[in-house]
Amino acid sequence: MQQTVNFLRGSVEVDIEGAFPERFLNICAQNGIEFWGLRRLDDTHLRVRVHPSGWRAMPPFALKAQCRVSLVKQRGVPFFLWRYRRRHGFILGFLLTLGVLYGLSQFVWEFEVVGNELVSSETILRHLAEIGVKPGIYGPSIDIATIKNEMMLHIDELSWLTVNRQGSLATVEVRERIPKPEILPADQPCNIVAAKDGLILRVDARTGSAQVKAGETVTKGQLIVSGVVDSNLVGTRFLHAQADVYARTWYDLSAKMPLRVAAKTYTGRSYTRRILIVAGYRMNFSILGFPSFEKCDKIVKTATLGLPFGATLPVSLVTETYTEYKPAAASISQASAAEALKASLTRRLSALLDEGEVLAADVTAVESNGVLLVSLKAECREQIALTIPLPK
Amino acid sequence: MSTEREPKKSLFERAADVFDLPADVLAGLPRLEIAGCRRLLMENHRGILEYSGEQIDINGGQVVVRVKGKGLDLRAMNANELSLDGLLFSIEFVF
Repeated sequence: MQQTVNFLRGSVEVDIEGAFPERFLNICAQNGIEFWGLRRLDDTHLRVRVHPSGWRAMPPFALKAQCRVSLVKQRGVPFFLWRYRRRHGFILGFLLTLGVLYGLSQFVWEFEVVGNELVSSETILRHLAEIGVKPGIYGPSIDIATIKNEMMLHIDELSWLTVNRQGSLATVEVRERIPKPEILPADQPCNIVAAKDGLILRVDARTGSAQVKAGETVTKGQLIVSGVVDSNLVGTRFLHAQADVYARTWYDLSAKMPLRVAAKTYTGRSYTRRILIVAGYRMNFSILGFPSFEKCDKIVKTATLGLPFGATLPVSLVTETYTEYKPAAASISQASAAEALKASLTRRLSALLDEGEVLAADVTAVESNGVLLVSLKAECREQIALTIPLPK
Repeated sequence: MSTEREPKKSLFERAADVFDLPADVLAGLPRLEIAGCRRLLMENHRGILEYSGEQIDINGGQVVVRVKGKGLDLRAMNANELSLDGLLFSIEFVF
């Protein structure tokens, strides 16, 4: 480490000649001239290394100590640069390199989106590109306030957006809007009605008067807890009814699936083309014409040239593979079709249930005319309270 | 410099003894730190009197510190501290 510093600062090897060269060293040490690598050559000769500034400060002290100092060798970066000071081309090239490096680092080559969950990064990048913010843009020309305004207008789901630029990488940070839940104010008179048909198991009315008892059946929309409370003492009051209503509900879901489906038989003919994209410019490498496939799969693979530590270069190679196929019929076994339908029905059922559980489920599968029909009958226990404001 | 004469203690040295204080801090006495037999660091020195690869005499104020060894090399030196490298054989105090 010290050696590196000495190399960068430069060092001078000095010969000290005199009757008492040690005396000269003491004077140097007292006056803050750093030295190292001291060697005795003979009785009157010492050789020492100092920094260039020390060498320049030496003559008066040498006079005082009655010594003669002479330069032996210079080494290190400052002397190297001094030696090449007349090589204008070298200096020009060096400065030019620095300039180009600085200039190119002002352009943004890569955009990265963070903080998005609902809106896809592609959507955000596409909208950014529409307002001119895309790879290759000159960094300082990015006006964050304008981008923010434009983007908030374009994408409703965003509540905040900013662009942080670090060299050639720009990070687009976004925050998404949290949808406002519908909340009825606590002082608004409300009724509670049944959200679904069912058999009431329990009504826990915290506010309001219950209109049905456990064991009764209700139809969708039927009043369960009334917000209108009448009493002899205080008269009629309009309240915000609050209650937990548990009911037994029944679902009958069904789904169909044909047992014969179209499948792909690959003909073995395929066509691959490679496209090099440099800073948004596409360079097609395939000169051969595109073959005429009646039906084909297209697979696109993009390989982006990267640097270590996650940085990427604006160079990517796209490989597009087209594989021709012919449609053919294939059949599915009844068991696997039934399994798939049952899984999808179960998913549908759990999506329908609101704060509830499935008590019993019965699945039946019937095949007719090559179509499998699966039906799911389920008995559930769930919360069916639905708060609606009282009509004025 | 005769070895028989014992130097008188200075006022500061006596004060350091009385008050149980470190003498190097109070009286500015030389302080030597030796790492193994290869390196020596000396604080509060008053300069070099003699320098060669086999023997280095350092002025320590009231005493001369004589370091003997082989391939001795003065690594660094400033007004207060100096650091030596090389194979150390002996360290003598010469009055």
